[in-house]
Parts: sequence; C-alpha cells; structure tokens
Amino acid sequence: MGSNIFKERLAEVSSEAEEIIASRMAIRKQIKYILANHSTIKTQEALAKAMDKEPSEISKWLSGLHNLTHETIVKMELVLGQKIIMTDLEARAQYQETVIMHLVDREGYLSSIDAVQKININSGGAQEY
Amino acid sequence: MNSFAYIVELYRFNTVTFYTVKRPDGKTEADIFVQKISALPLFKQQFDELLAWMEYIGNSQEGAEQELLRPEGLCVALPPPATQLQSPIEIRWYCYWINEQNVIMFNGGIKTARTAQQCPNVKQHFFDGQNWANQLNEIEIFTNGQNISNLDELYFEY
Repeated sequence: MGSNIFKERLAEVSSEAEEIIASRMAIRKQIKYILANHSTIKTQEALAKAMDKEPSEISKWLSGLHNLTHETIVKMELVLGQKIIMTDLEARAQYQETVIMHLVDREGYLSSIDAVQKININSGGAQEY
Repeated sequence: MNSFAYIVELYRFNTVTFYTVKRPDGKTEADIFVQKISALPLFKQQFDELLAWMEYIGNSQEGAEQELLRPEGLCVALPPPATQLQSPIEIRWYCYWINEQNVIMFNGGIKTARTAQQCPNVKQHFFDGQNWANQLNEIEIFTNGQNISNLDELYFEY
C-alpha cells in the first residue's frame, strides 16, 4: 500500500529540514498552550491586538513554515509575560525552584537550604529526582 | 465516454493517512507532483521543508489541523496560509481535507502569478482541485480513525 515515489522522496528530506520544522512546530505548540491558559490573551486575535499586529501576521507566525526571529519571540514573551523558549540552564533553574517550593510545602520542616543540599541540582540530581 | 478516477492511499503516518487520486492511466496525481517538483533543484529546500512539515503533522497528536491548510476555493492546499512570509513558498499542492486524520492529495506546481487562475503552472491543477472537491462534497466519505471505510466507493469523473 502507498506510493514508493513519495516514500523515497520523503526519505531524502534533509535532517536539517526535519529539525527546523520540528523546532518551529514546537514553538507553535507552546504559544498555543500559553494562549489556551492565559488569563487575558486567549486567542491569536487577542495576541495580534496586544502586539499591534494584524491577525494574519500571527497566523503566519504560527504556520510552522515561518522563520520566526528571536526578536519576535522575545516580543511575544514580553506581551504574554511567559517564556516561550527556555534554555536547558533556565529550565533547570526553574525546575529547582519548583522542587524546593514543593518540598517546603510538603515537608514543612525542610528549609530551602536543606532542600537544595538534598536535591544537589548541580551534580545532576534534578534529573534523577 | 466518461473516465473515472479513484482514491488510493499515498502514505500512512502515525496519525494522518494521506490519500491521492489514481487517474484512468494508472498514475497518481501525487506521484506526478512529487516527481515534477523533485526535478527542480531550485525548490529542493522548499520541498524538503514541506515534506518535513507533512511528516511532522502526520505524526503529531493533533494531526492535520484544518487551520494549517491554505483555503483555495472548494479545496485546500499546502503550504499553510502565510501571505507575507519572509521567504514565500511558491509550491502549491492542492488537496481535500476530510478530517484531522485523512487528507486527499491532488496535484500542484510552482505558483508564479498572484492568483492560481492566472498562473500557467498551477491553473489546471487548481481547477481540477475545485472540480474533484466539488464531486467529493457530493459523496459521503466514511472514516474510521485514519482509514476511509468506503474507499472502494470513492470514484469520480476525471
């Protein structure tokens, strides 16, 4: 079943193209997730208004085939008040903070300093926790 | 005497099955399109991105969301709507959206004019797309997940 011609051409797609599309679609997914959970900016139209752009511009950005600049992403992050892209180090820092808050809440007697020592993020403990 | 075209499977991803049109001469519209665009080195990167995009949505949890397809009269097309792309994609691949799991791919080409009707490369494929979409709109298409259940009944005038 299926087409060998399509299958063979699909196999020739460069891994660079695959990575670029995967990255753009991940950004699209994150923006849609933020909009779905945002307190005030819930739609692409509302995001367009907040950024003083046309709705078609936002639609273009979220197509998955548009090359969003870092500057545009930062502007969106500022309007939305949330990070869209996070580096590994930023994610670790946020994760560390979240785990500490959780432990302090749950255990009560744990001080945040104790929690940091127990988790030992810098030695890779965060991934195992 | 009328000739008939049939719907056949093109490629099945984890979430989306793409179908195409089998012509009376046995060739499929999608194969003709793929061979035509693949023969144009200038458009290799564009086509790579378009295929990578199909692969991504084909395997994504959400599938072929309708908003990701470009409205083209009665049918739709790839790439997604983006009228002011920094690097516009000139490839047009006309198709018929059934639902998030099932899409029928027609033919297309490199669009060189402002409208499809004015472009010598895609005009015929645009009109074919309108004609076939119109006929498919009249036929009840039953799906079960990413399968068209009544595939044997799906034929139309070519």
